[in-house]
Amino acid sequence: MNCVNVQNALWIGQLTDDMVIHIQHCDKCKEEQCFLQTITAQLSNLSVPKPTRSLLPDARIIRASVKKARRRPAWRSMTTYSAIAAIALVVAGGLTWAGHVPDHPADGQTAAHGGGNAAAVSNPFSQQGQSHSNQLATSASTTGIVDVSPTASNPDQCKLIEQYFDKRSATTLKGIKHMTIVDFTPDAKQPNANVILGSFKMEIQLEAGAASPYSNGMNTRFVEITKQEGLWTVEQVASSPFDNGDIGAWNQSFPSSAVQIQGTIMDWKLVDNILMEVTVKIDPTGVKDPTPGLQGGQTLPISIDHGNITPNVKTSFLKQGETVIVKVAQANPAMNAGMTVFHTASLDYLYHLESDGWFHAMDGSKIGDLPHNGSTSGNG
Amino acid sequence: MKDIIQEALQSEQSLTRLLQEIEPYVYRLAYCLIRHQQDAEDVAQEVLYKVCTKLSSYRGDSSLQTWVYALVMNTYRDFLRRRKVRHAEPLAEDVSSASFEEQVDLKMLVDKILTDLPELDRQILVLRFQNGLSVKEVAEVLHISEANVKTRVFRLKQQLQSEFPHGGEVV
Repeated sequence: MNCVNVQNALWIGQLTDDMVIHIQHCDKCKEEQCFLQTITAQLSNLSVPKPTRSLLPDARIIRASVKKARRRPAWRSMTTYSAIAAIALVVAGGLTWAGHVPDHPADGQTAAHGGGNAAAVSNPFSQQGQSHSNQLATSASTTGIVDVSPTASNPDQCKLIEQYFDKRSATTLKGIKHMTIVDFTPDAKQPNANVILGSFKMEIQLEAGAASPYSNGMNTRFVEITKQEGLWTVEQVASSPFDNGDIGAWNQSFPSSAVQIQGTIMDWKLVDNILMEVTVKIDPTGVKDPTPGLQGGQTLPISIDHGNITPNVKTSFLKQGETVIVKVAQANPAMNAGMTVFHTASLDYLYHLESDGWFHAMDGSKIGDLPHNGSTSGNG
Repeated sequence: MKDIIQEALQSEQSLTRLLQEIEPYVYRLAYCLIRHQQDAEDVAQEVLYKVCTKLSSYRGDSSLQTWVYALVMNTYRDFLRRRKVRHAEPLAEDVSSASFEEQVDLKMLVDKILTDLPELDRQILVLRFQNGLSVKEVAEVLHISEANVKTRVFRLKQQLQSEFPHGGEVV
């Protein structure tokens, strides 16, 4: 049995019975296990200060939520199958979460706002898969601050917009008695698969005499919804339409925002034969289009973003001094706070092999047409 | 056994109790990600508000834990977006001004690693090794593939091994 495989399995929590037995008889793997346990213990024991206030929602919000839920009979619409599933889960009753249960966030002290003995309460996360067939917010109820109208033609986008406004109830919604997201209309032309631009209509009911940027009755606003790390979220809402110029580089499609550079390989990082980073010294004229933060002569660490694919990339070209052409795009600063690296949003790079004189794509195929200088390669 | 969610949706007391029970987990995760008390409280408060108002839309497709942690991560991302680029603040002490002897202290080292890691790697470290989520659960919470989580865990492994003194032999 390979120690590397066992140690990798340790870190991802996928040990087989054979591996467990192996660890008992292998000093190196035992040491790795101890190391991992130490890391886990240190992280779990990280000191967390006591919250200075109650973090629970206002009692009125809790009351409104219960009232709203009562008006939606969650179990009435349950199908036979989900009812059976619910019964089966209750019978199984397994506690499947092996996470660490904090006595309290504040080093084991009691909650600042009271509410019972933390040690005595059950772990609310211990029940898996409660079967709720309650439909998403398509009720015509008017008890909540924001509702999605049952006539909404695009419930997903409306729901995202609803969530956006829910988070802003304290400020943006000041003076608004009730708001209903009525409809969302996507723009005819969308910038790319990671962005949805469009407009939505909202029915507003203001409190008497309230000052608000919204008016009583129907309002129209424009929205930019973006997908990051597979998650759709409302980026911004405005009273005028958005266009391509409003979209951050990291939300543009990779081909349209990537900058091509040419340079020589200085260094690289491999983890378990997966390429994580390549450091390239950019040729003096290696930046085709002037780009802030990129210049000839610069040594640039390029983080490889593998996205949602299992990396299967040739690494045979990794040689110091090898010529390489790389397309890079700026990382999303929101997701990489403090980092100034550029990374490839896809593994779109070429490498040059001295042995055959060709430029190759990442999968090893030969590339005859060099986009960087417009010439044709193939003869070295 | 009574369904904890159904009960919470039917009574203010039960919903309050559920929120109180979830609160420590939510706040702890928020704090470990943000490492700034006031901001962590704000994020945790927003998450608990969402749990309160969105609980009826929880359909049981994933575990309650995964659903709540996904809310924490989404809210945390919104927080980052609002704050744009911001370096995490060190915990109690200023790491950079500490002596070498102090810096090799394990706790300080863990703090430093948490501060220095790229955002997504930090989220994975906290979810996987602090909160004990499986690779599959981490992937669900972060909306990324399991393969991506594994790749990043392997990278974390290498980084942690190189950061700790004596090749992983901790003191």
